[in-house]
Amino acid sequence: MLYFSLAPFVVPVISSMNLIISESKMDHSSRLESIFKDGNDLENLEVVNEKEIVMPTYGTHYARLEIKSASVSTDLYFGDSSAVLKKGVGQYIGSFIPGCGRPLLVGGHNNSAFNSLQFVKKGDIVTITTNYGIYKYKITSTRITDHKDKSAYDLSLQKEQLILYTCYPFDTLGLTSKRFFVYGDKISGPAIVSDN
Amino acid sequence: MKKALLMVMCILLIAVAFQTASAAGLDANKQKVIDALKSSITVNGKEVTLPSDLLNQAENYLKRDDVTITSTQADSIAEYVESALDLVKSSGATTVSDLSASEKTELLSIINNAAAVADLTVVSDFSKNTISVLADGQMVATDEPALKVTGMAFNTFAVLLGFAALALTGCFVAARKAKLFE
Repeated sequence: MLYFSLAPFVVPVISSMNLIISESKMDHSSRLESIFKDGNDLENLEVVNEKEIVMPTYGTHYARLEIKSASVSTDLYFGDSSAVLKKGVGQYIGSFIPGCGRPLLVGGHNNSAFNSLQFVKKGDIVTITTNYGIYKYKITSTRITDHKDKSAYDLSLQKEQLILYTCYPFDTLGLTSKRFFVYGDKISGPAIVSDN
Repeated sequence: MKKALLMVMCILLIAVAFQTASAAGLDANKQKVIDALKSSITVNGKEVTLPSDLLNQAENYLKRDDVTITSTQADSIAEYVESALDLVKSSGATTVSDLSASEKTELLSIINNAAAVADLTVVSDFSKNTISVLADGQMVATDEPALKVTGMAFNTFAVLLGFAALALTGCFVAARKAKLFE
């Protein structure tokens, strides 16, 4: 509550501060590319050939992520740089795009895009809309753990598991060592198939 | 004339539109690189492999349509991977941190050579202690942690608090000078 009441005053000052002090070299790549086109008729597709897919490159907006029950609606980028996380949520490039049948690890800020993640419940549906298909994932569980706990995600899994995370607690100012994880299993969306 | 011009414009537009990297999947050469990266060795009874997050990044990059690997390139990369594995095996190390400084330098040199075969550049960030692989200046792989900072940066917050404290002190001094407390 404190954060949201102060946000209109605090956020502009913080942005200015970021220009003056920075822990790393200034990233001027804030103009991120987008390949996402909304409004495609993609319902009920079962398979999609990988040749029809435009593989996103680092920092590219390629999809939209929504959890209607928790009022989460944000752009999904491939890559999770600080520039990306200012614009929406970012997928770790060591995880896979929807339809590959492999894990998808997505992070977002707890004070913006993923603040409402705290309201998700088991059974809620996460929708990821891409140019090549609409993917739905059913939330199976949530978990709070340390940011160094590698058991929180398994990227070698041969299953399409959606893993969303953000810093925890949600309304904390400053860094936290805890992360809030949301896990979901794919329930629909076209599988990407190969000719090879 | 107008029609011809229109045709040329259409062709140019289509060419530009298709310049983005569409997914080509893994052909035999790309698969050979992936297979080489997937190989494992046993050191002191422990199986050593490339972490799955790095392997996934290689797979995601190689799936891009704008990435082509020739048979010669695939063979060359596979040879470098094999020499990297030999180096690790002879060192007896099961993690990168177990390697000596000279072994780490030698390993980095092999990685650099393997990357150069595929026109990739390896860059080290000593402030973060990370290594990243770039293609035309764009990141395609990194050993940065999978989980990122998704809260407000503490140093920004601390500086903000510092400025707030400074402003309050200034106000207090000004108020005292103006004798507002009397």
